[in-house]
Amino acid sequence: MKPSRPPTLASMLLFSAAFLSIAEVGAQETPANTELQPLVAVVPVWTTQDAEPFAAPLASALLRELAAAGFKTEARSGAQNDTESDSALAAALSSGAKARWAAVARCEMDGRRLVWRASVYDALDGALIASDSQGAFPGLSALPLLERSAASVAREAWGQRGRVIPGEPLEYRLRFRSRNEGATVAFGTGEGGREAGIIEGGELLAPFTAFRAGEPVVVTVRQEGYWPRTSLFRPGTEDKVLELPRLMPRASRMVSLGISTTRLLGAQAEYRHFLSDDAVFLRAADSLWLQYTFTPGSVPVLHNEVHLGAGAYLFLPRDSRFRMAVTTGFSGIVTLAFPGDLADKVYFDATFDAFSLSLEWHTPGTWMFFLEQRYPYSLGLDSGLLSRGWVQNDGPPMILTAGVMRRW
Amino acid sequence: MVTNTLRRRAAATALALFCAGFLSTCDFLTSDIFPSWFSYVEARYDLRTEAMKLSSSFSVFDDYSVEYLQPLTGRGVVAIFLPGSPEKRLLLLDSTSLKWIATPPDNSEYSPLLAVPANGGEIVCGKVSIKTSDFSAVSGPTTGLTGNRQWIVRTGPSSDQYLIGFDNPTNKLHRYKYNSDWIFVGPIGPPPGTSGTTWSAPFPVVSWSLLDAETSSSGSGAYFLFRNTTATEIGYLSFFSVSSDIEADPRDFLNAADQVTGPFRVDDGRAWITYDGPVAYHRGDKGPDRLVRYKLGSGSASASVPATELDSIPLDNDELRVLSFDPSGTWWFAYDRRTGYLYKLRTWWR
Repeated sequence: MKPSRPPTLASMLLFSAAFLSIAEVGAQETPANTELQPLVAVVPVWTTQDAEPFAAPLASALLRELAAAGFKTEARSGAQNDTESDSALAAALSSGAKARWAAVARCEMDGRRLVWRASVYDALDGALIASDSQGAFPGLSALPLLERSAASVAREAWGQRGRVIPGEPLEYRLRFRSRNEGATVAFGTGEGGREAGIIEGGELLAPFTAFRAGEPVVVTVRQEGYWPRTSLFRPGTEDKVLELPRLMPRASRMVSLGISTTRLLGAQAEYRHFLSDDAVFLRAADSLWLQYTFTPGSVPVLHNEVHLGAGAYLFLPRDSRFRMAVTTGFSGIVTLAFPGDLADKVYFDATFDAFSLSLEWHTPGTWMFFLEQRYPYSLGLDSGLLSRGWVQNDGPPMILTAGVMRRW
Repeated sequence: MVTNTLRRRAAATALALFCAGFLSTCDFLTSDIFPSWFSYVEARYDLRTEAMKLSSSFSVFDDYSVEYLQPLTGRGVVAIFLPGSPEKRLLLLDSTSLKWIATPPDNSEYSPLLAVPANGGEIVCGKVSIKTSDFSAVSGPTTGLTGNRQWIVRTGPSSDQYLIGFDNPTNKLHRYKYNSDWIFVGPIGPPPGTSGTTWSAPFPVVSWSLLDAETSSSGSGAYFLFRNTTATEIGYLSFFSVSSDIEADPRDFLNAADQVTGPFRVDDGRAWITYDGPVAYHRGDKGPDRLVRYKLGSGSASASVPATELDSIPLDNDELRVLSFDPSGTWWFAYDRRTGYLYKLRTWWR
């Protein structure tokens, strides 16, 4: 909200004169919603001549504060009017100006006391969305109070600028369909949620609830062994079955099978034990592969890597389809060479995975998919074949592993 | 809707990452974190440790002279010349298993000349000829030895042989003729030996050096592997079906050859003769270094028509230094500077 500047009396009086020189407000039909412009038409109204000098300053303050709040504004001519209600005036004003909102700055005398009311109406449905009413001694001391009223109304109206027309009350009971048999469905979330029933035979007919068409309906589904899931529906006037998304199972264990770019003649199997469901885990993996160059002189060399480490999922909720895990750990790689004349047939290398990133696509079903990038650093043991440093291959210094996972 | 869009984008990103990683590997099917040459290893020898046992000064070398020597009769050996100062040692390993078999006594006459002479059952290291039966030393060549890398080319069993050397400043290939008992019988011209060498178009005429020389598979012909650095570093392999043809003084070793292979790219002066085609070392600019074999007789004198590449393997380990190739094309030898092991490896085409 931009800070408003205190108006001068001269400017207020000048603005009042401008209002008074404009034609009188007339009653017109409310235009279709699609024709409404996103602006506020402001009109001053007074019931007696004594109140007239204050109606224009109130309207002027409203214009200024509404503009400062972010509205586009348009000044309309005022008039003495002690018969029509503010809502009727607002409807006529919106219709004439094709303005989404209409602000009425009304002043009247209650004995020797000045009473005013600043109101903003939404032409979508004629609702009063902001209003402030006060009284004061009719003098210059009332002007700051008029400013405060205008500022208050402008703030309130800005907060309601995104409102939509409330829908028609639903005359049917919501029906849900779900593949989570036995899951509990509730309207709302947390403790304040109201139970709607249990999925039986894949469906649930919820008890009648007074929802309005187009309004958001928050539905929470819970089931033992699965992560609860909250969904948002906007049911229409037509009775349609609402499809509840499948719940994501909670996992405390996981196994995977994959194949790596630098180990295509082999496979990797991994087991994860979650210390916290779907969040923090320990891992043990084994990769077995043959090294072979498909040329006449090449003899396969067998490698087996045992990897132990820990990891955690980051950033995304635990029931997300797409998940990212970072891991770290150590590996020992045993190499077995077969040539008969080679005296040393067994070699041992050790590597350290400072950082590994696993991109995973989780599904509510049995199988999931993952893609892992590893950046092993070889310790360069004398017993091994790898030099000290980041392990190298023809491509970037990383190992890409892709495969499927299963969890329970 | 927004969630679905995010999911699709996440999946696309993951797929793109996977593809990028996958496609960034050229030989992804054979790529491995372990050195690809290891699948060619037949045997290995802890050369650094054993050399240090002889003298700690030997441990600083990583460019040992290693040759697979199969005498005309008797057992084959892998000979390793240790060029210490003042110690000069010769290690002899079993040609099959690379197990140590002998360390002949220290001899100041040893040099990087490691070759098979015309007499059966012997090998030569510098001025010393060694019987492979009992590893006793007998006289070897006496004239023409420079202490640098040299070679022997034979004309046939128990026949004349040539001690080959090269003088870089003068671009001359020296030929010292001996009989099979290492009696110096040459040169045809005045001492120190036949050295007249001519270079003529269409080949370059200057900036030559000799990288390797071998007796042909028939036992009576000769191969010479030259390097030229006039413009870029290129190699030519010339073949004489009759070794004695090199006696001509002067001799044009390319235009007078029975067959020329090349030009072909050679990096760091590393190329070797095999009867299946010359093998040259290529330093990788963006990818790994490679060993490339070329087709015998391919190419032309013109640098625009190079020799035909037959096959190659990556050398994905900077610590591995290729030392020599068995001319029969069966074995090659490399030294791992990290571990100090000498490896005997199978070639990738046999």
